[in-house]
Amino acid sequence: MAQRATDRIDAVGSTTALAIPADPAYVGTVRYFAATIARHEGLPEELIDDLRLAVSEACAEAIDAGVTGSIRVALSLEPERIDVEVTSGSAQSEGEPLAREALVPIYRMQLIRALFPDAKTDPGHGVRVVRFTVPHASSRGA
Amino acid sequence: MDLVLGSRNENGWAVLEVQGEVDLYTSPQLREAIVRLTEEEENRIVVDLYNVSFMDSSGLGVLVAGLKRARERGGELALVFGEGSVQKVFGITGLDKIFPTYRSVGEATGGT
Repeated sequence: MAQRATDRIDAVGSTTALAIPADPAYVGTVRYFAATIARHEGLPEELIDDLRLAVSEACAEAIDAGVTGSIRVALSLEPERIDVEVTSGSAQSEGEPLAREALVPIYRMQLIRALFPDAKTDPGHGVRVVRFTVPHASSRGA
Repeated sequence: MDLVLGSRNENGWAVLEVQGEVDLYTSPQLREAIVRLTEEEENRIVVDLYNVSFMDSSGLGVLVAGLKRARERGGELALVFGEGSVQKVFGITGLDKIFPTYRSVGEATGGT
């Protein structure tokens, strides 16, 4: 029986994570995943739109760079904030960077940083990480 | 997640109507549609994004390339979108200053 390529969700404590193949076809799944969690936490729709865009750009940036294997998107629910971490392997030599308009990689990080100013990228050894925080005053208990 | 594209002529402009989400996966369809129009000598293009619910940088890149292609041929590429996430993406990147932008196709084509 073939193993499913996506929908690998794990939840530990306050963190829920989704792993997808580094494939453009799965980026929409990440947006849906992030929006579902954010909506459950009571975030306003405008902030959910920002989160969808930021996680989408982070995944697309990794795929554009030629990352192979999987991309893990983790959302950690903290009081009045969600910590987001998008982790992927480094671009492999056999992975071909996608041909794309030259300015697109610049737009991607510009958008993430404009939406979430604490966004940081960490292209470490063997792993790429984009982290940012979604601050919110949850409607819970309001 | 599908992208629905349709084109028609209106007041001397080729109107490319886009519905759905424009991202890394679907933006090649938009690129192909714009290239096809310019290959058909349709260089005055309105891209109607009013029914686009999501757009990321992949879509921006395609539209910037389309604008360049149209202008190189003596034409223009104008955009239609409403308030919301698409407008926000253009505002953050400053691209709303580069494209002619309108609130309706009629306004873009001079029909209203």
